[in-house]
Amino acid sequence: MFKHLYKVSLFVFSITLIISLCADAEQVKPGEYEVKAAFIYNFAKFIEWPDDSFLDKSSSITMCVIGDDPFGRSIDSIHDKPVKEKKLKVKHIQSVKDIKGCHILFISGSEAKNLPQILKITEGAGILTIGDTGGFAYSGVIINFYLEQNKVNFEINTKAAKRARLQISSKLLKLARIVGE
Amino acid sequence: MILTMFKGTSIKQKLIRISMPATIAALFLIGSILSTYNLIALRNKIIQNAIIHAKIIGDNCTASLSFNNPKDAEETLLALREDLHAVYAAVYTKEGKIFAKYQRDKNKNEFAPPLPQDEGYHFGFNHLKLFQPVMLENERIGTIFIQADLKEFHSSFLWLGVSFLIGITVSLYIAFFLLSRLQQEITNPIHDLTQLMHTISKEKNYSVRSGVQQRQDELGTLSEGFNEMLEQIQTRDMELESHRRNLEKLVDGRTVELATANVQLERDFIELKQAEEALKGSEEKFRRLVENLRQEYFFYRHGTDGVFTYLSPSITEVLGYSQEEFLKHYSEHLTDNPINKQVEHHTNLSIQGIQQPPFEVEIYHKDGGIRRLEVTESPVFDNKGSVVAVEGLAHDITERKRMEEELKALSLNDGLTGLYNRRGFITLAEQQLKFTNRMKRGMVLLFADLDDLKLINDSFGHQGGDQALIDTAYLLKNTFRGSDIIARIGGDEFVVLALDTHETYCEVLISRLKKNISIHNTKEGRPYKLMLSVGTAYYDSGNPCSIEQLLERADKMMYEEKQRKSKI
Repeated sequence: MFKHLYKVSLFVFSITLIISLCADAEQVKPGEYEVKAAFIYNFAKFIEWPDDSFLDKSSSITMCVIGDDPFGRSIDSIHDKPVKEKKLKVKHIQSVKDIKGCHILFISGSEAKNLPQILKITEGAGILTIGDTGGFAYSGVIINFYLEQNKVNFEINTKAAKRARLQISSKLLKLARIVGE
Repeated sequence: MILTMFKGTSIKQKLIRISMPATIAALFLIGSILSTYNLIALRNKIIQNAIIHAKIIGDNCTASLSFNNPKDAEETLLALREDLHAVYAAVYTKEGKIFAKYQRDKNKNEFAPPLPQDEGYHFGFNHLKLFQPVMLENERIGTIFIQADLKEFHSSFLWLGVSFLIGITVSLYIAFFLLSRLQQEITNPIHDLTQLMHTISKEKNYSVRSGVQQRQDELGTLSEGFNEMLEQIQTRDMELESHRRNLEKLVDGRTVELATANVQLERDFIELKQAEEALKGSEEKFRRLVENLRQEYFFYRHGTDGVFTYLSPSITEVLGYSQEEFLKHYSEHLTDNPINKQVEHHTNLSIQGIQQPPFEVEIYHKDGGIRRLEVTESPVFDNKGSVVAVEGLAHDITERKRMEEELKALSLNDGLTGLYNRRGFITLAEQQLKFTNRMKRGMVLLFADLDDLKLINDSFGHQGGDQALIDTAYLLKNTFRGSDIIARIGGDEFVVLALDTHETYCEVLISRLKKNISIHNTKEGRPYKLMLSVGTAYYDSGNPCSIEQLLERADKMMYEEKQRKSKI
């Protein structure tokens, strides 16, 4: 009786394994904004904020998204993930006034017209500005995504980073296209 | 088994047989330890090297992995070109997919990296495979793989082995060389001692010594002990030798005593014989006196005027003359002998009535021969007691005199001084010469001449001269040893043979004698001073000569001294 049950359970386990393997094989390639979200999370690991950016050591790194949110659910994957003994918190803001308190600011393409205003606020405030709109880096955004052969790449405006008092790891710089203003 | 292996081998071989295996074992042990240590160190170095490289590359790949940039990771991997050991390398993603890879030799088949594993390494026969996680903020974001080839390790291993063998060979040669030297240090003194022992036992020469005792080790002590032993043997040898010599000396002494006793005995025997002969002669004489009185005696009587009144006819028997012939030419028959000068003096005294002791007269026989007469004169008194005539008895003592001379010649002793005479001296000296030759000794002959004996004789009479000779003999006896042979060999000539005396003592003997003479001269207070001229001659048994030659030499030297004195 038990022997029979054992055989049945083994069979069920085997089927489950096969299905799960097939599912893994069919796993879809991550979407553009999923990659960008992962990149943003990883940027946090290669960038040093000035000491006065955080209230205390345990306070979280706040990532703000201003303008239309292009990430959708994919941004949730990095929410609450640990970075340098801190946690990454994702926040959506609508007004320029809310920029204060952000450590990372993703400037959506919809905010192109407000860019100078936004950059004026972020300048020297220790805020990593990220965009994914062509020309943003030239305008003073620190990191700007661009696509090349369907692959997500990024460019870095080192002067802007310097102005923002951010230290970017050479490892990161090595991977980026360096942009002047 | 080890003991049987060493049986019958020399110390040298034993030392080498013990030391060489120990040296080889020690060398192998040290060599093995060093090689093992080196290989472990090299292996650790290779591992450490690979780990460090994996860590650096991993660290440099964090961004590449984070931002999915395999090209950058491959560029990072190219840094391994500097590491000659790394032949393959690969970077895997967190999921285990190959992210980037590297191969040193591009001509080889494309490298298919193995499946990623947990951190660790394993050694293959000629490679080291190492996996190292790539960490970013305590999160494993990938894995790195490095494969290093162990060619260097193998060549090092080979090199170590070869150098180890060369080292061992060279060390063994050096060890053998040093051991040979070292064992010489030990075996040479032993060998020397053995040689010394052989030499000593062969030659019985105990005066040699071992020179090994300067060493501060056991061999030095051994050698010292050996030398001490030799010393003791030598000392005993010398004692034995000295005992032997003493014994020989004792025997020699006894021999001399015996010889002296023998001489004494001989002398006694001769004296006895002389006495016997004398006795015999006396008996004969008396017999003949009784039987042939006429042949030896004649009587005479003369008046106070000296004119013969009677002459017995036996004069013809005694001197060959007839009574007439003798009476007529009596004084013409006397010889030149000085004793005849006393005749008149004696006759005058007899005429004066003084009884004279017998005196001697020397007279010619009718046949030309010389006769010695002993004359006893007695004065003849009358009733009043005045001398009227002198009666004389003449006794022919020629034969007796001759016998006396003969006897004197036979004697070894000088009647006056009691010393040996020439004959005695020669007899004893020749005996002593043989003895000295046999014993390889030396002796000194001293020749002394009493100066101015004639002067003493003239000044103080013969008795004075005789006393001077007796004193000289006494001085010589006092000066020399009882065993020395002292003799008077002529009128004023004395000799002393100092036995067993070295040449160097000549001066001492002379000065001792002269000192004794001067003491005698001051002490005695005699009317004249004793003066001796002295010469010496050394008899060397190595250069023998006769007693006569020796006497001649000493005499010559004495004569030279006399000459010197007379010049002064």
